[in-house]
Amino acid sequence: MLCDPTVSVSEDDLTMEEYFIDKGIFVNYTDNNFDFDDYYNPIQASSYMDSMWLDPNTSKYLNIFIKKTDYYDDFNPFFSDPQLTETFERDYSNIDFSKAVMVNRSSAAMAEIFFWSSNTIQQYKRSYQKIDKVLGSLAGVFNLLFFSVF
Amino acid sequence: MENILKLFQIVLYEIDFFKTPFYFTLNHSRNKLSTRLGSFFSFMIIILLFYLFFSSDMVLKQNPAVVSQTKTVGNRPEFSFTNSNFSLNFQIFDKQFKSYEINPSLFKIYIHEILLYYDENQTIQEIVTEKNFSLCKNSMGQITYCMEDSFMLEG
Repeated sequence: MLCDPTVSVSEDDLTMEEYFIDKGIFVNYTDNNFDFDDYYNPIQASSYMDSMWLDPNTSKYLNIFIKKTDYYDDFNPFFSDPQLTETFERDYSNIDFSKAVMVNRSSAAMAEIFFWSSNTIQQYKRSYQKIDKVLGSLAGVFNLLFFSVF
Repeated sequence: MENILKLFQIVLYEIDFFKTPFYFTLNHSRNKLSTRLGSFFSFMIIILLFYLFFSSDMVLKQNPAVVSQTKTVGNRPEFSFTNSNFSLNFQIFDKQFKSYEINPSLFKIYIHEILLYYDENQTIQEIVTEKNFSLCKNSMGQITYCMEDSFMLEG
């Protein structure tokens, strides 16, 4: 578990209640995307946005799960030589209504957002064509043309 | 000029894949018969092979093979997040998804790093550390709450 950014109340309740009528909270955080067609920058940092409606009288929980990602890149044209890059990406998120409770306006949090480490690891392996396959296919074409003449 | 023509003839002779062996000797002690048509076909094949090589996926760096798999692990991995690899910010919005400037006099956002561990009695203990979080401008110029400190994330 990581962090617990808590939206808590202060000042007078009436003003706060007016402010939060029909309001929600956006949570923007870094999420890595993978573009396998991009040779030089396959791992691209982007932003993911989760949201949750707020209620001044109820405390809600948003759970965000982040998973580890092992990214293997193999672009050596001669031999298999995968290079590992360890990074992360968003796994999933959910709003836990089972823990929603009426808040004590003077002290309790209106929303609690938890980041969790997911128990899944994502692995990607990207490899490009090797020279032996290219030469093999060229030899096949050559043989086809050569023997078709004879 | 004559030398160039000779050289050209040699090239045409050598390039011909379809030389036919024979059992008598021609000029220049050659023992295979090379024809201009054969040289032409051979030259076209070489050009085709060069074209196929330079248009291959290996040279053009395209169409990679991608394997994706998901593993479930018992021990959840640890992450170390800093401002360089992770950003986190918050905004308030309404039903029309219009974003509102955060009013610090109405509410506050706290961020805590909570590390859980087992003590010697095998009961779960936690270490709570408050992290700095302040008003800042995001990439779109909107004022949001942004994370200042780095933090750990573990299972």
